[in-house]
Amino acid sequence: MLQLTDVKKNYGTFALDVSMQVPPGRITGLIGANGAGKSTTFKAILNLISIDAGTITVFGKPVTALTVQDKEEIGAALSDSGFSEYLTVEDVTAILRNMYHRFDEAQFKEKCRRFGLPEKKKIKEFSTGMRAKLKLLAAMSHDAKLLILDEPTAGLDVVAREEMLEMLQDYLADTKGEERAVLISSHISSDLEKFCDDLYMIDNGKMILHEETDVLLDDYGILKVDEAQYERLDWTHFLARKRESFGYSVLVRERQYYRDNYPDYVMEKSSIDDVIIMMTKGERL
Amino acid sequence: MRGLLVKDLRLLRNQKQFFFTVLVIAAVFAVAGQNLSFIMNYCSILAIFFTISTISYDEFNNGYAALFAMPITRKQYVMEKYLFALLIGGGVWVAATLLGAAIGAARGMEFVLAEWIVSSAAAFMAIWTLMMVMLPVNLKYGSEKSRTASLVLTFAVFAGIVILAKYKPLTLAFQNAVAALEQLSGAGLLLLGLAVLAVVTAISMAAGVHIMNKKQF
Repeated sequence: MLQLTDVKKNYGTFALDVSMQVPPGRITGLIGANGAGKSTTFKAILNLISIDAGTITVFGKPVTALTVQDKEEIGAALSDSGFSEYLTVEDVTAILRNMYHRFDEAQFKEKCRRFGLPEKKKIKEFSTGMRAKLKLLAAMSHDAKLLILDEPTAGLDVVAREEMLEMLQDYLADTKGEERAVLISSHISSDLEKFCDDLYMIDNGKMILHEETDVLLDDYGILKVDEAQYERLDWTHFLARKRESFGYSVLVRERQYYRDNYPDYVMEKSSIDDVIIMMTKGERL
Repeated sequence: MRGLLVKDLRLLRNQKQFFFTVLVIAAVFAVAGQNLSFIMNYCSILAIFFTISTISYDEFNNGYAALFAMPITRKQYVMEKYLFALLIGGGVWVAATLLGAAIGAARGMEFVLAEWIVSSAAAFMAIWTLMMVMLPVNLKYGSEKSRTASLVLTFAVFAGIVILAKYKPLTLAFQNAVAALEQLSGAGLLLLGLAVLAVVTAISMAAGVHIMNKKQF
């Protein structure tokens, strides 16, 4: 559904160089620190910026060749951009009605009511959370095949976040789910952990990891070892190491293999945050 | 395109107070003043600013990115601005022309309808040409920088005219052109004016599309 191959974009000292794909029927996550290149990647996918090299295809077409009809199949929510603050939900409804042939007005209005978005209040009076809700609801309002969501849960409280994520899951769970796909970024890794089928990790403009979420949670682990233990380890499944006061923390892929072969060593289950820290702050191997 | 028009019309509603003030001032001049064409020009020029203000709403807070993630092309965006300009600028001009004629007649002013329409059309051409310059300048520089850009541009045009006027062959050619124009009939002048407007509009639109295609959001 979406494919990026060797996409390069240079901004002064920052260089983006990424490849990734989002197949249909799946929710793919993109994690990375602020400034890692998430938003630049999203903007390249939406053809909002030109790229210096590589190819981006959406629905099998180069993104630069997408027609207006193709673009109706994309629902986007961007972290740093939204509807004009001088519009109201009522205005946004009218705009969406005239922009998208499959805009489900009744459902959009109902969801706006459910999530406490007043119809006649200007967006500039909305809280950050309310703006985030509006962007997400608008992206999901027109039966798009591909959702591109950059930090859609930023500014939402825990309850609203859960509700929004559930709604996204339902979006893929309904009868058209197999034809739909979601690319979502967040710096709240627990959101993505529960929700994504696979995850890409981006750091300093480069994809440093791509893994199925289940594999990441079930098979990855962190060994805490002293220098002597470190020397005795099998390095085959090492991903990254970090110097510690006691020796090393080592991120490994086959957790069970190390548990079986080094039963006396300290092995911890790694969360996604741990993986991010190890891959970005540690030395990648 | 329809979605964009709806957006701009709804954004325009935000300025209804300003619009109302403009109407009040126009009404005062219409009742008390002698120069009816002033009202017409005043209203039409303000209509330009209404049109152009929608660009600043779009660019505010990086709104362009969200806009172009929707099913529109950059070319459609530019075309919509011109259409919107024509609707608002043209609409206000027609209303002001009719209103001016009505007020003139009601006040029993010496009034030749044909002359009124010709002077009104000439004013519209000048205002439309101004809009054709301001739209691409605003698309290129945004609402803040375009004020400076417009000033620089105006200065450059005047400086250009002053410098070119010093060349005798050019002033002679200009005088000949004016003399030739004076020979034309009213209809001929109107047609020529429309042709010039069409060329100016086409150049302005092409510049606008080029500017938007180059933009990065």
